[in-house]
Amino acid sequence: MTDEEIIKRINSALADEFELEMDELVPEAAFKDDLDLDSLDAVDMVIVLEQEFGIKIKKDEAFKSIRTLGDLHTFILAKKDEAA
Amino acid sequence: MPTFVKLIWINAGIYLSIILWTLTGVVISPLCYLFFTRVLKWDKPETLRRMIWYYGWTSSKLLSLFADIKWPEQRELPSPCIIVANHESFFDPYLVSFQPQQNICMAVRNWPFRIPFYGFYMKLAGYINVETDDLDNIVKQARQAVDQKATLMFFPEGTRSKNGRLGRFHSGPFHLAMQTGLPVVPLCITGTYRMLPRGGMLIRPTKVRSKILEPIHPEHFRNKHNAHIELRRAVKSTMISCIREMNQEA
Repeated sequence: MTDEEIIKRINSALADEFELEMDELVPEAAFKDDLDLDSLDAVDMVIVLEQEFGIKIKKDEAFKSIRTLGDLHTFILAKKDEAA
Repeated sequence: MPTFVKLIWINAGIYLSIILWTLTGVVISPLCYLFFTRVLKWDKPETLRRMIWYYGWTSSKLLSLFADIKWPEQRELPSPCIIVANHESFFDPYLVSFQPQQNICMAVRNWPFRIPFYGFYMKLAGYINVETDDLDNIVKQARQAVDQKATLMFFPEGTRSKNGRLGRFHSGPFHLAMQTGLPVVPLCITGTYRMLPRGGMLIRPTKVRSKILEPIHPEHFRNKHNAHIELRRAVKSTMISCIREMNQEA
């Protein structure tokens, strides 16, 4: 799977989970300020991404420092590279 | 009654009665808890859950002395089940007694656990912290509560409505329903936003009504892609229609 396909899957999963429009999902979008997602949404995000990509991210310290969608893309791409 | 006098009546009555009842609860609840658990040997979390329900039920009855509140037709709920309720106002957690089950295990965010006294009792009652725990832990705690014959209850919006409309639903209760097979029972409450919106202090007279809807069974969604999302959408759309009708009738 290419990086672009992974990013598309991430965006699509988040759009479904959080009832977001695809055009809101730009890399610079901040979860809190732009997408109105809070700490409770972070719990849902972990679940949906773990299910989508079959990875474990809950206990990953790097996940806690994610603030924007671009950060999340980078994080998941790195995780997929690690798993490959 | 003139509007100004009515406002004083409803605000003084509700605030004073809730404060007095809460203070009474602070004094008598430890004694009740010790009596039920030590003398009658009742199960500890269940005792606390029933005591909290009774606190909410009495608070709701006190509210109804000053505000136009009607209970829904009390009927049997599937037991166990997952109740999901909309959240318009500070008063909604008190109105949990709108539904007939007394052994209620609430799923709550992290901050209420830090409220003095309330938080301590919530922990003893085995309430589920949906903000800090991961799904496996949440499911484990929920199964434990269900084994103790508790009914699970969520406010899936996670916070009070900002504008009186139903907000986005979190997925927690729907993941849980898919994993446990428990039916979801929607509880719709209307009028509490008009009564006291988020950020407000002045209680306004209005009609508070509620409806318990038919259970929605997770097995109907089992074979769908993103089953929890489909279940969530089905529950939310049923609640939106019901709340719209209730608001039109008000």
